[in-house]
Parts: sequence; structure tokens; C-alpha cells
Amino acid sequence: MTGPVAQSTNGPQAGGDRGPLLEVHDLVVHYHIRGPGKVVRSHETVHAVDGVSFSLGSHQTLGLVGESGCGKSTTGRTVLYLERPTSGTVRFEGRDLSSLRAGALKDLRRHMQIVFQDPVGALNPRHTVGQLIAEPLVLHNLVPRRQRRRRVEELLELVGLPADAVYRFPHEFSGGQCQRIGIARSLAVEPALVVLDEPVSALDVSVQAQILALLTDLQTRLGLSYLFIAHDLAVVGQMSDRVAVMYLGKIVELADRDPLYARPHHPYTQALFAAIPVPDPVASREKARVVVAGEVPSSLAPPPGCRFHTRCPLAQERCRSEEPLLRTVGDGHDVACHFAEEAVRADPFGTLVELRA
Amino acid sequence: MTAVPVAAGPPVPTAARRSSDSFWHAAWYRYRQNRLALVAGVVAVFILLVGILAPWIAPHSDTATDLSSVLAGASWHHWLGTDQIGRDTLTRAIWGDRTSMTVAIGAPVVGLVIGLPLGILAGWWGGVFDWVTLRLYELFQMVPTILAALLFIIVFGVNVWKLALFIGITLWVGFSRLARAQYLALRERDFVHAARALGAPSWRITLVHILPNAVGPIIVFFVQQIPYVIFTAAGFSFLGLGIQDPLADWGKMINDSVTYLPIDALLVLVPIGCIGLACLSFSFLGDGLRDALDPTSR
Amino acid sequence: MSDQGQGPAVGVATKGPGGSGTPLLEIRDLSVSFPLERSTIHALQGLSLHVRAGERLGVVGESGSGKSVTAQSVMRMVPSPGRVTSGQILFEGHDILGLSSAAMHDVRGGQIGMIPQNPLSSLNPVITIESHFLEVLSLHLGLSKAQGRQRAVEALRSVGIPDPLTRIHEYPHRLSGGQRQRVIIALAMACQPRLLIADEPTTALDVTIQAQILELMDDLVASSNLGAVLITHNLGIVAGHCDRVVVMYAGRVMETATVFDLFDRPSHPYTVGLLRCVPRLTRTRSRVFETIPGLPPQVTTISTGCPFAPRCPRAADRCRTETPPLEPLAPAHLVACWDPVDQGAAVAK
Repeated sequence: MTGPVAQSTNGPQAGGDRGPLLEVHDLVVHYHIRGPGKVVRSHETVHAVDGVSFSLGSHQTLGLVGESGCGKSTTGRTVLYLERPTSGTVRFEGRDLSSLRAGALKDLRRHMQIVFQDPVGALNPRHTVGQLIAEPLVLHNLVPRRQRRRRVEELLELVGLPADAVYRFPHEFSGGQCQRIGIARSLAVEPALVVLDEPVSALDVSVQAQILALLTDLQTRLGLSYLFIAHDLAVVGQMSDRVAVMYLGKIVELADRDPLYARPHHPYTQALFAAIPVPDPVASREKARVVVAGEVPSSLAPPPGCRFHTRCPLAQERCRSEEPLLRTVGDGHDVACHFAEEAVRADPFGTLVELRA
Repeated sequence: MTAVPVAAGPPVPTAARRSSDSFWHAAWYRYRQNRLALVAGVVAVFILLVGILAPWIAPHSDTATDLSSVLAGASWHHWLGTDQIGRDTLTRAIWGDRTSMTVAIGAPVVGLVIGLPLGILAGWWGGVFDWVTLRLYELFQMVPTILAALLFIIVFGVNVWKLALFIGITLWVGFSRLARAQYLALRERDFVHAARALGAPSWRITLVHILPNAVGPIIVFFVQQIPYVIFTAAGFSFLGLGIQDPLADWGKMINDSVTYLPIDALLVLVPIGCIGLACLSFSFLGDGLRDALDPTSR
Repeated sequence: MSDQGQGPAVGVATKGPGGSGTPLLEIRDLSVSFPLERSTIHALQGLSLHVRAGERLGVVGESGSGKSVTAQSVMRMVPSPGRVTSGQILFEGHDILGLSSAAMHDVRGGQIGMIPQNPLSSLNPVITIESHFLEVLSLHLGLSKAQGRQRAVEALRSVGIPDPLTRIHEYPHRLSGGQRQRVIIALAMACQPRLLIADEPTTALDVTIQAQILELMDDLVASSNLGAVLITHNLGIVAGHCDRVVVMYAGRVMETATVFDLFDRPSHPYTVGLLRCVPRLTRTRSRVFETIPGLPPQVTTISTGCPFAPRCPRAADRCRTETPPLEPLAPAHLVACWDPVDQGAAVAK
């Protein structure tokens, strides 16, 4: 691996002299929901994201992986300021998003886009494909009216759709094609960053592969950066330069892709790897695979200390009381675990032996 | 790296096609499948046309009295007979159609005009405005709509337009609630998030994205109010508080003729039949529209 | 079809591929179509497969392959306007399609248990867990309330729900997704059916919970010697939890084999393509994406020729005009292809 990917530290030098494209520091997103009670309303807080920090350089892909409730989607939306964080800073191209006025934020939206999980739902069912893709061009006045049609057709071609799709409606297309439409739309503004929120989870395997190939190709051609959010480690592993594993609102491990996949340190990361069904009948029967017990605790009341301690086979007293912070265990490899080295040695889920080259 | 894969999609014709399968096309197709709705639709349109064309198609003048043939039954001259002062029943029925339809369409329009913007704004602005709107709903719910309309009539007098206005005012809450609910639900849809992510301002999202998708249920609701208004207006007229002479109105016709029931049943049956037909046809039309425009709500 | 079920190589511990004799479930040449307003969808076209007691059959396919319709057909719960247009479904030798409604009610839940796709919506939100069990148990086994309650608690315990005595009185929304799926499994197993059909039982669940549920299902199937049909799009699940596999495409079977044979010597170009597309956990990042070009078909016409021909890199003229039959390539390994991939000469990825 060469190029910007080689700068794998967490610091601000990745990606260029102006600093990283995206810098997130201590992001916190809490939702207040009203608890039961008629007269005296109790308030409960959903700790969706609880102190997340990372950076992303240009032409890079950061994979954000975790199960439901870990906060990865919320992080993705908050990075774009589609939702305001409770606290923490998001810097895009060096500018602090919280300090921007509505107009400046709208302008900045040109540079950062999002592709959603539900390809069909992300498209207004009453608009034609042509209208859908042209909308960003209209909003930001990027292209004079006469040339809009041509630009829409260019974008359609870029994502591999026929030009006469402009007259048709989303429901006439398959899931994979709708996702291509969504991608074309987000590229219309020529963004620098695209947040991909589970872009292929709703698609068939063969279509999934096409979309991932398309995304990779577009990244090279257009010099995009991706924040790739998914729950599937295998998919994330194909697309990312760096990977962050999230659990219950926090990043538990953050490293370059290959070192993480070769040697995951955090017990939760190991559990995730162990849980993935391997498409090889011999290998999946050979290994002594351990399935992690228990369920994810509610984000209304995250466990004290290390949030994974309720399910961790290596949990000790210290884990129950003291929350582990991200610490460096290797070159650009950070883990939030008091006993990360122990986890690698003990390999409680049988993960480390089985990863195939 | 692999080349950009081309998606082999459904077969696409080479000639340019205009909105082949738009929402309205698909809705019309679904509507056509429903025989009852089709018939009801035809009848409803017929009723509306009769009302519009009343001055030209009524066989006699609606005020002309022919004291020589009073309470006559059906005859070639008077297809549905005459009333107690010699006015042609058919003519009265046709003119009554005109007044009833004016109120029946006018009242929901009033309700829509008041309620829709308020509902949308309540959803959009939220906060205190929404809170106040919700309290207004509750306030107006406390007031029995029919009595409220009657109160207006007593205070302000009545004619066709006032009747439409007063009944219409009592309908605003329904429209407003619906508009607000639609707004709030649609706002959470992914394609609205996508539009925001693209940088669309709120007003554009409301007009271009949310309203077109909310139109279906609102149309259905509108049509569903019509039978209620017809019936209510007729009821008022029956009580003597609605349309006054010399205007024709179905409810008034019933009121006027009920004393002559033993002599001339036709005189009562005609307006009752008209009210019934109008209510039923718009009711089935509403059902048909609901199934066509919003099949998921079935 | 008298296939003997090939086992794995000696020395690798597995769950056995299951018994012999008459199959528990046999589907012969089943065709199901959905006549719609403007077209007809031929969801299944001449499907044949079988499952034995103690055997786990994986049915793999993408959207439009007809795998869910297969499950629905066995339960005779194909949503309208779908209907079976030809073929037979034999359960323990009896034709299910010919049964009366009443008899079919007996079979459903009592002899064939089904685990549907979405655990979130498969439980009635306004009745307690206990009531769910009581309903099923009294319907099929005629148990009294007290007996039913007892059984329900045992059932919950057997699927690993902690503290079943209290849980039984709760409403579904109080349980997590994983717990709800366990309850559904327990319900499906409550009357000790002989065949279990699971339609994408873990798709809606997190991967760590998925692993728990699959392990649970394996244990249950092994301990009761059930036949199981596991419908999924996930080849990893099939590899780890099935003994035999059927690969479906456009309403037909493309290939069927033991799980070892299928992954080791995939012969149908679709299977080969699918296996190449599946994202794998690799130690180093692979930057090559294998794809199958084109889209899974909308099966609105009964096609002549192989349904995969438009996307197949090996398609010849014959493939487009003549439908290849499902024929044995090796004992217990059937392929529907005019030019199956010869693994002996196969080029590595």
C-alpha cells in the first residue's frame, strides 16, 4: 500500500498539507426521550454516540463497523451535520461545522454527501430519475439549465445506467439500480467526502459486488474519500484503508485494515470476527469457534466501566469500574481495553488462528 | 480494478418516453379495476354536471308557479310532478343539486384552505407553534360542530355561501390534523433526509418533496367530507335554518313536502333519493380514491 | 433419486448428514405462479428437492430465486394471488397439496414447524409470550393451561432465555430481537414437529446474535433428529450449518450437492460466480472485485433456455434456446447446465 494510506496514524498529517479532510473530536450525540409518568416526566437519555474521535484524509476510506445500536449511523449523519451533536467538534476541510451559519453550511454540503441504506426509500417516489439527479444541480446552481440534461446523462453513464432512465420512476428499478441512482445523485455536486451508510446491506450478493466495484472505481476516478459504515466486517475489509470498530457508542478499536484483520486486539472485535459465518464448510467445522454470549446492553443505561464487560470472557474487576481509553498498541493501532495484550494471547473466541490469507 | 460494471436493467425502449408510470397513471389504473368506484365516479360527476348546468337543463323556471297543477303526480309536462304551489319538482331537484353541490364542495374547500397551511406549519415549525395548534385542535373538538355552525347561522344569517363557509369552518381541524400527520411522517423518510443532505432549504423540501407525497390522503379526505356536508346542509334546511325560499334545496324540499306525504309521496321521495344518491356516490368515490391513491392503507 | 449423502473426510468432526430411506420431505417438479394485473410472475418452475430426517438442507438464492415461495408452498401459505400450477409436495410420503384445510392446519405447527423471516413482526404485540404458547399447544396437543404453561417454560429454557418463569408473562416488545427469535424458534418446536423450515431466520439480527441463534438451531435439530430446511442468501451460513445445499435461480434449481462438494467443486457457472462474489474475511485486503454482471431476473416469462444465460460467461447458443435439465455430474451432485465448470481444469481465482 502506498500513498496517503501509508500515513496511518491518528494524527492530523494524513492526507495533505491542509490537514485531514475530516476531523472528528470527542463527538457526543445524546437523545433525550421522555420516560413514562404523567405528571412528573422522567427523562431518559439515549447515549447514541459517546465520545468518538477519528480523522480521515483525502482519497482514503475509513470503515466504521459495528452492530445495531453502536452509533455508527448516527456518527455518519452527525459528521454531515444532518443532526447536531450534543458536544464535540467536526472539522471539515479545516472548518468547524458548528461555527457555520446556515448559508455557509449549505454551501459546504456540496463537498460532503451521503448515500443511504435503503436505496428505494432514499428516492422521492414522485420524481423521475432525471429530476432526482438534477436536484443537487438545481439547488447549488452548478450548471446552467440548458446543460443540466447533459450532466444528468453523464452521471448516469458514470454509474452504469442507461440514459433514458431520466424519464422513469424509482419503482421501475431494482434495488441495485436505485442505489446507483442514489450514488449518481450524490456525485452530482462533486463532493470530496461521501458517507456511505450501509450502502449494500439491502442488496443481493451479486449486486453488492457490482456496487462495491463501482464505488471503488469512482473513488479512484474522482478522488473521493469515503466514510464506509457497515455491520459486515468482510465488506468493510474490502473497501477500507482504516477501520474503526464501534460498540455502544464508543470506538473500541481503530487501526489500519490489514493489521486489524491480522490481529484484532479488542475482545469485541475478536468476537465479531468469530461470529461471521465463513463460506468454507471444512474451515467452519474445524475451528473451535466460541460464540459470544449475551446481548448488547441498552444505550439508555450503558454499563459502567468498559461497556463490553458484561459479555467479555476476560472481564475483571478493573473492567467493571474503570473505563478503558483508546491507547496505542502498535503502529497506528489503538485499542480501548485494559487487557488487550492478554486478549491477543488468550484468543478467547478462537479468532486469531483462522483468518485466511 | 474492474471496469465500471454496466447494470443490465429491465428492457428499455430507445424512444424517449414521457412519464409512463407516474403515480397518477398507476393510481388511475388501480381505480379502473374497482367497478363500484367507477360507477360511483360517473354518478358523482353526473351530479356535479347537473348542478353546473342547472340553468340550462332545468325544464322549467324554478320560481315559476303553476297553480293550475298543484301536487300533481308525474306527467309528461312535469316528469316528477309539482309541489304544493305548482313548482316543477324536477326543476327544483336540479336547482337543489346546484345549491347542495356548491355547499358540498365549498365547505371542504374552506376547511382545506384554513386547515392545510396550519397543519403543515405546525409540523414544520414545531415548538410553540405546534403546541398552540394542538391545543386549538382540542379546543375545537370540544365544540359540537353542528351547533357551532348553527350558531353562526343565527348570528350572521344564511345563504348558500355563508352555509358553505360556516360548515367549512367546522371542518378545518380534520384537514389540519391530517396535513400535520402527513408532514411529520414524510419528514422522516429517507428521501427527505437525502434532500437535506444535498442542501435543500426547508421550504423547498416542504413544497417539492413533502406536499406531492401528501396529496393522496388529502384528496381522499376531501372527498370523504362531501357526504357529511351534503347531509348536514340538508339537515339544516330541513330544520328551516338552512337555505331559504325561493332557493331550492333538497333538505328544504323534504321539509316543505313532508306534510303532503299521504297525498304526494313523490314530492318527498325525490329529494330523499337525491340526497341518498349523492351521499352514496361520493362515499364510494372516496373509498375508490383511497384504494387507488394509497393502496397500503387497506 | 437414491442419493446416499456423502460425508466429509475422516478426521473432521461434523454433525452427520442424516439418515437414509424415504425422504421426510420431497418436492417434485413444483411450479408456482402469481398472476398479476399486467403480467404473471413464475416464481417456481419445476422445482425438485428432498430432505431426510436428521438432515439440514440449505436453500440458497438471491431475490427472485423463489426460495421463500418454496417454504410458503410447503406450508401451503403462498400469498394470494399465487398458486401452485403443477407438481407435488410429499411429506412423509403423503401429498400435502391434496390435503383438506383442516388436515393442513394439523400439519402446520404440529408436524412442520416454520420460522419466518422477521422476528419483530411475527409475534402478536398484544398478547403475552405465554398466550402464544398456550394457543399452539392447545391447538395441536390439546394440553390444558397448566400443562401448557409448564411446557412453555421448558421450551423457553431450552432456547436459552434466562428466567423463563417471569419472561413468560411479558409482551413481545419487552424482548430484544434475539430473544424474540428464540421465542419463535421455541414456538416452532413446541409441538415437536418432524420438519423445521427456517426462512432467513437470522437476516434481521446482529451477527453476534446470529451466531448464537444458528448454534441453537443446530443443537435443536441434532438432538431431535429433525429434518431442517434453511433458506438463506448467505453462503457462510450454509457452509457452516447445512449438510446439503440447493442453489436456486429464477425459480429453478441450478445445482444441488453436499455442502462439501458444492464449495469444493462448484460446477454451475452461477454457483461459481456467487462463490467468487462473496466478500471474505482475508488477512490482507484484496482489491479485486469479482462480479456477476447484470441483474437477477424478473421472472415474468417462462423462458426457454437457461435462465442464467444472459449473465453467464460461458453461455452458448444452446443455452439460450434449450433449458438444461438437472442431471447428475457425480453421485449426489446434480447440475442444470449444458457446460458445467470442470473443476479438474478450473483456473484459480
